[in-house]
Amino acid sequence: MKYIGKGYPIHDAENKAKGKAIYAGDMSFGKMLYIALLVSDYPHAIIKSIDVSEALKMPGVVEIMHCFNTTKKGFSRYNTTNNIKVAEQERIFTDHVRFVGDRIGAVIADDPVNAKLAVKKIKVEYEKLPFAENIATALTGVIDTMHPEGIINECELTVGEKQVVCAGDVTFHTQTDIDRISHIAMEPHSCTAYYDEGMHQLTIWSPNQSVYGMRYTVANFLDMPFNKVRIIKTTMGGSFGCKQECILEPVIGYIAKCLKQPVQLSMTRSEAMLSTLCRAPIKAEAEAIFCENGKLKSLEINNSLDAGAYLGSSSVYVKTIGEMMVRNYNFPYLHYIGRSICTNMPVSGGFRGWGTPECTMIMEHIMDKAAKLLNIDPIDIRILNAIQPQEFDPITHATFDESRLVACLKKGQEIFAWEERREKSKKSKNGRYKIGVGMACGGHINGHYPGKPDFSRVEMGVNEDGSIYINVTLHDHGCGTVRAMQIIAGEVLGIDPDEINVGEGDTFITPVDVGCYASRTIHVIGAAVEKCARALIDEIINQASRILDIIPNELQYENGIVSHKRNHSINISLRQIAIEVHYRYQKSIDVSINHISNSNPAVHGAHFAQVCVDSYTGFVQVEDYLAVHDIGRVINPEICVAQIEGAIQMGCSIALSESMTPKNSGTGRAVSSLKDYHILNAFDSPHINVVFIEDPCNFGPFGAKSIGEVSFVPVSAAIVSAVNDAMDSDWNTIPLTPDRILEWIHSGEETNDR
Amino acid sequence: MIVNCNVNGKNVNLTSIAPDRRLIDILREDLLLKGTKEGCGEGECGACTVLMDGKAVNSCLILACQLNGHEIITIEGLMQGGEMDVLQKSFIENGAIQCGYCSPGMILSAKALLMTIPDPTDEEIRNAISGNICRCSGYNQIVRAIKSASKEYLVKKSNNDKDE
Repeated sequence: MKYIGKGYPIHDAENKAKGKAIYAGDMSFGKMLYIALLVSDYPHAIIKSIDVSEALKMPGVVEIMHCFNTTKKGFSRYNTTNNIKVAEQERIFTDHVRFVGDRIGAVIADDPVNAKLAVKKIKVEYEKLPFAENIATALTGVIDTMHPEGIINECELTVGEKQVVCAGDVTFHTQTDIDRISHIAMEPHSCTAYYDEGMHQLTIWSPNQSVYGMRYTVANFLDMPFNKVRIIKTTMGGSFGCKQECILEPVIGYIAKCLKQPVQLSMTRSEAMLSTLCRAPIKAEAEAIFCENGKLKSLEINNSLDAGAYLGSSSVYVKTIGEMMVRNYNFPYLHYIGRSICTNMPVSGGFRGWGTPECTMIMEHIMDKAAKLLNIDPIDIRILNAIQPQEFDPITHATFDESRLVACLKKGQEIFAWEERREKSKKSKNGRYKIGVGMACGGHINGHYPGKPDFSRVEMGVNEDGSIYINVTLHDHGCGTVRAMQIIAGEVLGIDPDEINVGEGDTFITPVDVGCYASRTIHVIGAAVEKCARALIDEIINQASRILDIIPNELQYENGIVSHKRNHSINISLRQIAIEVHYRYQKSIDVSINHISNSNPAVHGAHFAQVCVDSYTGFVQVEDYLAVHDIGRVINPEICVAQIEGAIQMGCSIALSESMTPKNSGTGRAVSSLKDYHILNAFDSPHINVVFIEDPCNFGPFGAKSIGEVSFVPVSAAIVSAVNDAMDSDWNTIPLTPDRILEWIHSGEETNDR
Repeated sequence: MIVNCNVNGKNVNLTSIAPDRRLIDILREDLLLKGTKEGCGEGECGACTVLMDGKAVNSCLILACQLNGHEIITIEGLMQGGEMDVLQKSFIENGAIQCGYCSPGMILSAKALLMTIPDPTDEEIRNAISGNICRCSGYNQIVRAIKSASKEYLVKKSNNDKDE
């Protein structure tokens, strides 16, 4: 390989290092207006009146929009394609607020600070309504009439045949409790928009994961023709899922259309935490049956998810938690009931892994528990139940292709010196500091196939100097997918990746695409780019054939040169071909292809963690961490490792400290400040070792599979496993905060005393 | 009020400015230095870090009334003679940049560290950037970048000393 596997900085690293990268909130067009949101202070209320008289007197205020002077039309942040039809419960500004942070109105002013100051002067009269801070309260019926469609959505999933308990089988019950968390992408949500009156055209610049998805929602909401709505993806300061749903775009689109001036909306951290989306809390109960030899026989799961104030993507998300169960282990019987329940808390939505980390928390805890009950090593029980290469997903019936779960487990077992560490950890149980060694594995996907449409269009051509352009609808989240496409095309064409330009999503320029989520970017769009580059070589040879007057079969292409197969002295460079074709044949050298994905191989990570629990303070330190990944092919190793380490840092943080649940219940106000929402910092980050198993799969660019989400999937489960090993406990609640651990230690002591 | 300060080597005279206007708003809105990023507005994330008289500060916590006579360096002021600072290059070369939103603040925190401790240990580096949150990485590439920049500074310094 010439470029794949070498290691490159991400494409815009220099601009970012210089502070020159332009994010949506950095854009500026002459006379800009700035939007500051007015949001609800109450978790559930009807707005009786709004008094803007004082706010209008504030300096720089241009306009105040709110629920009584704007459209009452509804939308759903999740309806980004024609095949998703969630109830349109949300309004841009509502007079029926359903959570603290719900949008009531906005001040538009000449300066962002002036806009924020004016918001504080608006007086809102609320008629308070009963509210539910959690599922248990919601199920008492107090908010049953909050949405006309009701507040509960249920799904059911069955795989295999019901099993009966036999002699020797073990049966047990587990409970999983996962808290509400926030994505904390470092760039809070932001967008800029402009409505061109003469052209009747709306342009929105936003960091999003699907320009075409945003266009679908915005154009429908504003009743505008699609050809008059232009969405441009901007440099994205991280997403982790928080920028995948259509939340601010309809709001800013509406305001821009009314004011016909460039407008910008940059959220504060508090707004980004409360008023966009978060990962839902879940509570899951499971009943498991294992055979004496460790084979999983039956699993029945009952899972409830707190959707927050609007349904959004939650009914699909909760279903996915069940569906993803089958991507690691074989199930003779799986029965899953998932329920999403609306409450008066921030809206739940997509988060890195889309339900799989939650599914993994449930499943891996069950595996650990079965291993303990049956006295089998945790790795051995997983190997026994692991899916095998070329088996099929029992739900989608797509092939798992070159699944390497067992290889990941065995490799990790060896590198982490698993047996040795487990033995050592057993000996640390008497002192204050208890060492724990745990592990978890996770499986994920590579795109939408076969459940949803999964295609990509790519156009590629040669510039007059022999450099290459690629026109494709990418949405780089900041993890280097633009660079990956340069490397993939560079490898096919034998051209330095820096000589290849790759566009990002713009509905007026780049071709239609289903968006950068579901870990489809490398596997699906990357495959499309590879295919297109190969088609471009054919076209280059065809054009060279015309110029040289030699039949294409006699010619070969290598590293930007077309030469005669037998007489290399007859050759022509890309630059010469491009110029000749432009001026002699009056055309450009370009091709375009449509790639329809027909694969969704299994992709895995086996993660191993060593923790030290201070039984006096309850503090958990992650001391050492190993991640082994079945990745198919590593395109850009350095950034790939950085991304995996980021996933581990995030997963550790979520397992140990992150929570949006307010300390004092009763206000309905979720945690919305980094003072109270604790993220592990550079000082807390563990020593991490990342190992790849590179067996290219039969699909994807050069056999590459996904990594961004799967690397995050097993982390929290691995930390819980290690803490349980340290404490000889059976917890499956996160975050494992010092307070919580101390409480458990003390309650355990009381039990022992009795 | 009137504020006189120095930003990136240039004297800046801010007339009729509200005493409680935050430094980050002055930099971004009044001086159009958009390289300084706001991540939390309460001094918890470090994205808005700038140098004030050589020390790393959160520009969201500094007000106009505290600026008179002080020297501010933002990420835009780190380049010299069109050349990137060693730290900027090192961040790029070591894969320490992903989404980039924390990078300006992270680089300036590192700069403040290396100005006082030219050859820091890993622990000193982690301590110096413990107020800067990165959500994309596990900080290891960042620590490596700072370490490698410190070595390069030392080589540069010893070459300069020899020249003198």
